[in-house]
Amino acid sequence: MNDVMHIDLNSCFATIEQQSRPMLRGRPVAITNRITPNACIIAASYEAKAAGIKVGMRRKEAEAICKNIIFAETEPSKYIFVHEKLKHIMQDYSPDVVMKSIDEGVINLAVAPPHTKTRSRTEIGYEIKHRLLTEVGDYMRCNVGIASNRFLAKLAAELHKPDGLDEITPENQRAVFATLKLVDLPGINTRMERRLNAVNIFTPLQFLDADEQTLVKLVCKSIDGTKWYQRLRGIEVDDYLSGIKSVGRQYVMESNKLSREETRARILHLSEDVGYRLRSKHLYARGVYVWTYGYDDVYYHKSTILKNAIDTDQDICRNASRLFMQLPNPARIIGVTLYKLQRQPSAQMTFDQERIDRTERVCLAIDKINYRFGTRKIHSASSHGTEHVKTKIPFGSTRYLDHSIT
Amino acid sequence: MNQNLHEPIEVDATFSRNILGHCRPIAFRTQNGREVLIAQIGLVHPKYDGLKTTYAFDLTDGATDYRITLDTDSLNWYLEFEGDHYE
Repeated sequence: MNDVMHIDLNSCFATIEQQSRPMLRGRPVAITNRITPNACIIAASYEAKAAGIKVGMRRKEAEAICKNIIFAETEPSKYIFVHEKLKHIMQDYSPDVVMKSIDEGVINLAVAPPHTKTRSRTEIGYEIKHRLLTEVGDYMRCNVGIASNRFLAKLAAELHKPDGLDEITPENQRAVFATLKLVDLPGINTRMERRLNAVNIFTPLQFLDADEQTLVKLVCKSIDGTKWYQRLRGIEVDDYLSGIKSVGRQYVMESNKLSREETRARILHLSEDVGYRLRSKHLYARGVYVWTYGYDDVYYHKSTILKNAIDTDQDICRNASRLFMQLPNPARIIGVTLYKLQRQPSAQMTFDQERIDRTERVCLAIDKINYRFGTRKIHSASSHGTEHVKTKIPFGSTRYLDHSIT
Repeated sequence: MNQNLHEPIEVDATFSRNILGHCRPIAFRTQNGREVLIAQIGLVHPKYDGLKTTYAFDLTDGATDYRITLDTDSLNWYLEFEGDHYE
């Protein structure tokens, strides 16, 4: 019996807005982080998609295609609430639930309690759909994919959108693959498609029939070839959790007329945010990376690797500020990333240890106050006036979806 | 007209055990005496500011969308948003 169930909310942010505001239902809705003429669409309702709106389009382009499109600004607290509700529903079926992003997750039914394990998978899938309607809202829809591994389950969840439920079994796999293109498979983009085409693999069925050596030696030129060979045959190779390698944030500037000092204040705001995230995971960083994307479409960046690992806002801000001052201004997008993370502070004590200890205590006290009274109730004077640089939706990782960023 | 507000309101609500939460507003009265009968509740979700929780109720009377909030510290209700069209 297939044990992996992939649940994917349909057009997540747009559907949640339509659930939230009944007047938006049945109408083309596009979600952007900010309502500005150049805002980028991060989600579109099915009505908008039917009118030709695509994720990533600019507001102006979308308005040219669809005159009656409605724009709504993201509201992270709603999406995090729905994410949590979906996770709780999924956890009722198995203790092994992994949320892959804010709008999708995987249930491993192989470790489910006996009374769940013996139930029909499609019955469980329909029950989850029903619970989403009754426990979150009557406009919420999800796709359910059932298969023997994560790859095929995700593929199954993408077969019939919206509101589909599909199962891929060894019996129907070839029939399903016959209806798809290579780029329809999760993890296959145009570059990988070109590599497959180079060895005369043009369809998912040819990919399935390819022998392991071809995939290892000619296509992937690595162990990834074996992984693809197994993945396509329903063997689980994606059941692992990756650790945190970096902590970062970026911000799209609201204007091209900001002075260097104003941009620096935003860099410091981002630095305080990543510092809080770093400390919330009890980590220290040795690498600080600051980047800007200019109006000349050039990517500028500076980084430093420190002798001692840091975790306080003061240290992160000082280093980020120093690096930023070496980059050109104005910038269209700015970002701060901490990398070379470690679990322990540096063992070597310094002559400056008393100052470091004092700084850490101040930082800890500020974190406690902000945890109790709300984000950025206390922050550095240098980042004052940047309250609009609020945290938007974290795509991908769901590690920081806690109260602190709502 | 679409408006962001923070206006104290009076709310009639039922408190019963149901799957969407225990509190369901039925109607509310604004400070100028206007009464709004709630036709449909869209989404009820918590918003956090530190350890303080406020519940946001997105709802409609059939013609206008509203957001009302319940401050769980003071147990006061507020009308936060009123919108009868989208652009």
